[in-house]
Amino acid sequence: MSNHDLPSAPRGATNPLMRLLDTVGSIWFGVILLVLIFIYASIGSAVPPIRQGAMADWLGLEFLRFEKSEMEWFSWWPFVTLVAVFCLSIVVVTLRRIPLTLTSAGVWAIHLGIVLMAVACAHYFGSKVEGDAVVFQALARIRVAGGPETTMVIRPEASVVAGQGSRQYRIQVSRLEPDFVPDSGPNKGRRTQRIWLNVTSMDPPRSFIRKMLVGDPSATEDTIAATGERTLDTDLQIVLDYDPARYFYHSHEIPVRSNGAIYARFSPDQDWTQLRVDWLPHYYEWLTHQGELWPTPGEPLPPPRVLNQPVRKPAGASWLDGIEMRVTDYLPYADMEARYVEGTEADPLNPVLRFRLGSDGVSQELAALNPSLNRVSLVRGFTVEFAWAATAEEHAALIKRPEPRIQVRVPSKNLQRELKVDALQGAGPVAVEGTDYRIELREVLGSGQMSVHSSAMVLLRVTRGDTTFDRIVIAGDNSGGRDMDRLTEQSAVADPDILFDYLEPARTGLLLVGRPDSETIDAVLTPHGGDYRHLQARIGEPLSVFPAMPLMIESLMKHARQEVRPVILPRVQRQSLGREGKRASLVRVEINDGRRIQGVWLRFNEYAFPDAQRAQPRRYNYAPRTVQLADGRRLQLMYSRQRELLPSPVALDHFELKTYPGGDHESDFISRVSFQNKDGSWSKLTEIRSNQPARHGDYWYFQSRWDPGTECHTVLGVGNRKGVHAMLAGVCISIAGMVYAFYVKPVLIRRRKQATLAAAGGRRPVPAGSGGNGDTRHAAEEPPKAETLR
Amino acid sequence: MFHNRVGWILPMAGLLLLAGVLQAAETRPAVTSDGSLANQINLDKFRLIAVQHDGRFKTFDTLARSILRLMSRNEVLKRPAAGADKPVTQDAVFTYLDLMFNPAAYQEVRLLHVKETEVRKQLVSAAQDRLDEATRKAILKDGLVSAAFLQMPEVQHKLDELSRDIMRTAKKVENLRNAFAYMQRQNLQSLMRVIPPSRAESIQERWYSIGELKMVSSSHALHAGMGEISLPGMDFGAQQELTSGWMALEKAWKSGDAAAINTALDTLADTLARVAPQVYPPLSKLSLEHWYYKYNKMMWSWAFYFIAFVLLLMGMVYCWPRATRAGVVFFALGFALHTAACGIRWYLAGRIPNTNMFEAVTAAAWFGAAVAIFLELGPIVLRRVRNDTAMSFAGVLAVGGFAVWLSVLLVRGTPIDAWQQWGPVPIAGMIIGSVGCMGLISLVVAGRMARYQGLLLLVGSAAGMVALMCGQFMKVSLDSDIGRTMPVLNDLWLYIHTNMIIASYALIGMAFVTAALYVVGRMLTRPFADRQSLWAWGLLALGTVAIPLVALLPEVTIKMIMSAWAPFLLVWVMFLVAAIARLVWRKGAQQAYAAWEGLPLGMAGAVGGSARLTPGAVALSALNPAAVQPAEGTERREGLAKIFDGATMLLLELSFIMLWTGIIMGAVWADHSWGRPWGWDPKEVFALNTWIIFLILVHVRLKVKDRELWTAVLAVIGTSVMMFNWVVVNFFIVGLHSYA
Repeated sequence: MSNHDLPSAPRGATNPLMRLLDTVGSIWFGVILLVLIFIYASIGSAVPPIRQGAMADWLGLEFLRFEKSEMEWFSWWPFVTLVAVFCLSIVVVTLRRIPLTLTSAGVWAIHLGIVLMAVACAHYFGSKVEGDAVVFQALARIRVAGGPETTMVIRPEASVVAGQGSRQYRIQVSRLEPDFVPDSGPNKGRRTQRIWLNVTSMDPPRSFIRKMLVGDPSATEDTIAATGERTLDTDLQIVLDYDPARYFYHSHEIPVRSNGAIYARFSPDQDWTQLRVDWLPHYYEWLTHQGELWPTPGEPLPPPRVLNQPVRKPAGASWLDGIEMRVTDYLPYADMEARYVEGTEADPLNPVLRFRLGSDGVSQELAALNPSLNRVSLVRGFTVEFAWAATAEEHAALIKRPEPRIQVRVPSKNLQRELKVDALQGAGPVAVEGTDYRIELREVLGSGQMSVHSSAMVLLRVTRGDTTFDRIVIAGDNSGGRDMDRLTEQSAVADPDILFDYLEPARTGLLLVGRPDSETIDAVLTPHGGDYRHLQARIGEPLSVFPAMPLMIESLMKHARQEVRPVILPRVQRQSLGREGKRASLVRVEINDGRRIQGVWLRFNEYAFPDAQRAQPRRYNYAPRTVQLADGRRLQLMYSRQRELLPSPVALDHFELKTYPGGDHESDFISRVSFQNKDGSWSKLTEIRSNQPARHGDYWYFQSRWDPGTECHTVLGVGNRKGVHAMLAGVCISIAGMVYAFYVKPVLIRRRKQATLAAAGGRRPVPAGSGGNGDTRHAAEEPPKAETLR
Repeated sequence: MFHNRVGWILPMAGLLLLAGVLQAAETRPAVTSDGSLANQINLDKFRLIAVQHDGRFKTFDTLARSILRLMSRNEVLKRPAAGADKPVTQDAVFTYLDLMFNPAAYQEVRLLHVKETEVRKQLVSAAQDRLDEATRKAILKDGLVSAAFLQMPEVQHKLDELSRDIMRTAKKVENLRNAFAYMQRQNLQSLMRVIPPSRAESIQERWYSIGELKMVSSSHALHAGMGEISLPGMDFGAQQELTSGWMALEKAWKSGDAAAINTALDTLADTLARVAPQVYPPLSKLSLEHWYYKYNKMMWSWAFYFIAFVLLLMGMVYCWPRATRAGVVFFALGFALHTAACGIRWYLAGRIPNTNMFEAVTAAAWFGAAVAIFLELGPIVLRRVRNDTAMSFAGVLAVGGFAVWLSVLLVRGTPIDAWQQWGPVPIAGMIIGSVGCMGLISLVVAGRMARYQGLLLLVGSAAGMVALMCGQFMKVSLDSDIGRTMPVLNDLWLYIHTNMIIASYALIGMAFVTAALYVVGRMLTRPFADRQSLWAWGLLALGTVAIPLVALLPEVTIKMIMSAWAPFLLVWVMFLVAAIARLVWRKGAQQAYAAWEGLPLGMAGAVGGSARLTPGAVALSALNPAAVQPAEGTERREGLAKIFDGATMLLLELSFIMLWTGIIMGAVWADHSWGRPWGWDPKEVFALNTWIIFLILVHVRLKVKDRELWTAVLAVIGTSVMMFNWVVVNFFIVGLHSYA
């Protein structure tokens, strides 16, 4: 395109519309728009704090708290306006100033292509639906002796009780083997999911393991754990069926539907009813109920910011009549945390000690009477434990220097011996008096040394004649020990004729002992490899545990009471929101039932599961909360994403993981799914893999995420693609136009010039530097100057 | 040239250079002089054994290097030796084996690297009562700590604390803990998956590690008399042979018997290759990999590009044909070596080498050089062949090549996106079609290229030199290890979209060189042609000043934005160098000025210390510009100003189309991979922003008078945006494209 191709606008036009068109159709106007688009896009992408709303804090102007995600920023009216005006400018300049000729066809194509692409994008994003659906592979349908059906979603640690009365079974998923390869049956030679179920029947009382193969019911077998006997309990009927997904959940990224929803029901047997929330923030704390939060150590609570978003009831939800809800607070990074507060004398005894290691360590709490909360591991192998001595005898026993001993029992000879661990260490094989056994102490592990709740244990090598075996003896375990090569077998010992117990094991770490009638704490310190020490500790005074790290006991509560409240996560513990989405968020919902107003904090749930069956720790929450209304009804609420029904339920038939050589690293993920037809039957299998989606109806299904380790479910992306072909057509036209304008047009212009010269009968002198031999071939190839883009 | 005796000097010089560079580039450490065990052991055979690691088969040498690099950021270990003044340097393979057999000897060796200075300070501060001054200083300086240091309770507590800061230090602590874990014997043994199952039927099957071999053999020993206990799929006899071999090696190593060690190493290497020959990688491939890693992935070939750059620049400025020809030769050598490096990497990795930043940088430079060659060939072809004939031939290649590709796929019924099943004929068709397309483009622009002959090779060599130097010297930022491809990248579009984008980046980089040369030339000669020029200079100044101000924002450092600032800095550095050179070497300045304006020598002279037209020439040109003609028989050449501008536009036009096409291809890929063609991911936004800058350039050029200056300044700005996208977005801004 050259200045020759651009007829000037008529001079001296007084018509305001013409002047406006001149302006809009000027190159400089277009350039300015491009610059503005560049700046807007750069800010949105490279300076996230601005689109998130940091300028509100910098300048103190609350309306600058944009709270926009990337997609929202680029769907916002300023950007849309810029692009629309830019397209208008292109149209005006093309129609008014670029005549459609052979040489300008390229520019026309470029402009047409860009405008077409922009319009198609508007259609695409305006109608975009995008989300994901989690699809579990198998649902176990369980009947006991022909009784009513119970279901259990197959996932790690799932469990259910099936049956009635005395004919009850407790069934738990103990193991999932996604890479089992059967050597017979319909899945012969193919990786197939094998499911191990631990089954315990009440009457008669027995335990067995049921192994089932997905896709091959005939491969079901039961094994009695204690004896290894194979059997099949025909009273217990378990059939593996599909667990189709009916809903997909909207992605956070698409505007309009990017906000959350509150789900409500009165009974766990009901399906959730979705109540949409118009808008929820993304990045900042909107908090008016500061008093309901725990303080975050080292960080002040955020300033009050009012959020008042109605929770919209759907049409027809008459069962919610009289109940109004609104979202009053939002915390992007928070969690519900249980902490202890001091109770009164009327509360039961529950001693809790709070301490901190190092001057800038984190405070931790230990509850003496709670076995899962009475100890913590600080640095590897060093455990801090809190115990409560109700009596003087208990106190004496706790603080005394332990004398670790191995008690040897030989039942056949009615023999019992005690050997001191200190004497055994480094002594090599030692004969057990009165027997032909020799034992050698190989290793001693203190409590908490392997993991925070691990018990103290010793490893002994036992020899009798030509037989040698290694036995682990765990303190407090009266079974006599377990042999190292039988850890996964039911029969624990190679030689049941010799049994061991580990008595008074040494503790590794720090034991703090409290008493009802004393304000001091006894501290028994045994560092790993070090000697026993007994110290007195006072609340508020540092205790020297490590040379540069004193331990400070902050408080001791004797009648502690646990409360659960939200706490805002410290900034240093936050993942970027790009990774987290809303996963770490909490909302406060206020419920007004006409007689009472109450508030409840709700954790985010990625999916609004109907029950806990599909929940998995650290992956998928199931965290509804129940509020009691004034009329006694109990309303269950859950906070999650907005969802929609899939056009057809989708079931996962088989998930296949392809790996690189060695099997450690995935190279592809393949979900073979089936869609339910209107008559209830299932369609033929459709394969969905990375970079290869599948279409069903108006939606496309993509391989989005997978389940590492157990492969018991898959996550499919769901979305539509309206306008994609128009977008593609637009860009193809624009690319063709560019090639034409840069490379074809100069050839055309050159040939036109040649034709003109030939017609004029003249021949131009050959310019220097073009070859110099006067050959017309080279003269013809002299690059044209003014007519080209350059 | 080869008829001339002097002409032989250049190829000889090239060969000598190659030999010297190879010698210098070899990454194996020099033999130490302390008489230690490392000196007496021959690892040549053992280092070539195959290891199954990270989804592919590699040599043990490669594994050892990568593990040592993960631990200490270096492929060799420098450690103090008893009785030696200086630290001795240890080979990675030796270090790996010694760590397994003598772990206690490394407890106090400072071998684990702490990258972040702030983390170093905090750890040293936590343990300062237990460290002497020299050790404290050493740790703060080089970041190397010992295992014993990390096991101090104070240090462990500090690490726990730092691991709670998820955004800033948790990842660093995790890396450090992983590095510590790597040096544990059990991990080193488990990483040595060198034992293929005897009855393996495919390369997909999992190999066994030395750790598993030892465990099963000790289980067998414990249960003697209970029959053979072997690894699944493993022949018991072979297993026993390997066990004895390993035990012999271990025993010999611990006793320091070098002869026995050498025997054990060689025996083991032979045995491993015999266990399952049907799946064992060929020795030739293993040897090639070792050679490739030993010679630093051939990144030293930047030296050839550098010499080519210097020679071509001299040839251009001084119109010195011999220098140009010599430059072409060195460019060809450099390109040949570069091609070999990419080809070897492709062969070893089993996939196209453009899936991480190192590969993208080196592949981009290759594309840039290849495009430069194509464009330079255009006028050469047209001097020998008629235009119509050449165009027809290129057209037939283009259409025919793609027609062959498409028709073979259709006939066979192979889906277009099942690219792994295409076969050699369709691939050849596609390559021929692409060559035809490039040929067409080069023929179309050949007329323009006649003016800039040699210039594109010049900028191509600059791009190659910079890219390969980055690969050679920025080992920490650009991980050159051959890794596997993430599942989402296993697609045909990786080959197309990524290559298109990086090729466009290479062309932008090359255009930057010509644009920068133009800007510097204008700064020295005629800065202000008109008032609009002020705006152009203002933009350049704005970019120079504004970008570093971004470092004032919280969490932003100068290092993060350096890549985007670099184009502006380079322009100013070039200006400084040229300004000094102009003052020091006046005759050269006159020659450069004459070249700039396209004048014969003698029309320019020194006036007041700067090169200008002589007064006579000024008077003449004012009265009759046409009278300023070269003397009879003297060749008048195009001024460098015009040449640089023309070359910039030539490169930018091509990169403009390629960048737009590449962006769209990325959208097509994203549509069927992620479900949405466009997500306003930072990478997408800044690729579009780069294109917008060039869109602005194309239109500004229509309106301004001093379009050459505007073109050059906008090209510099566009390069800065491109570098921001390629480096800052990749490394510092999290998004969907964070694969690098």
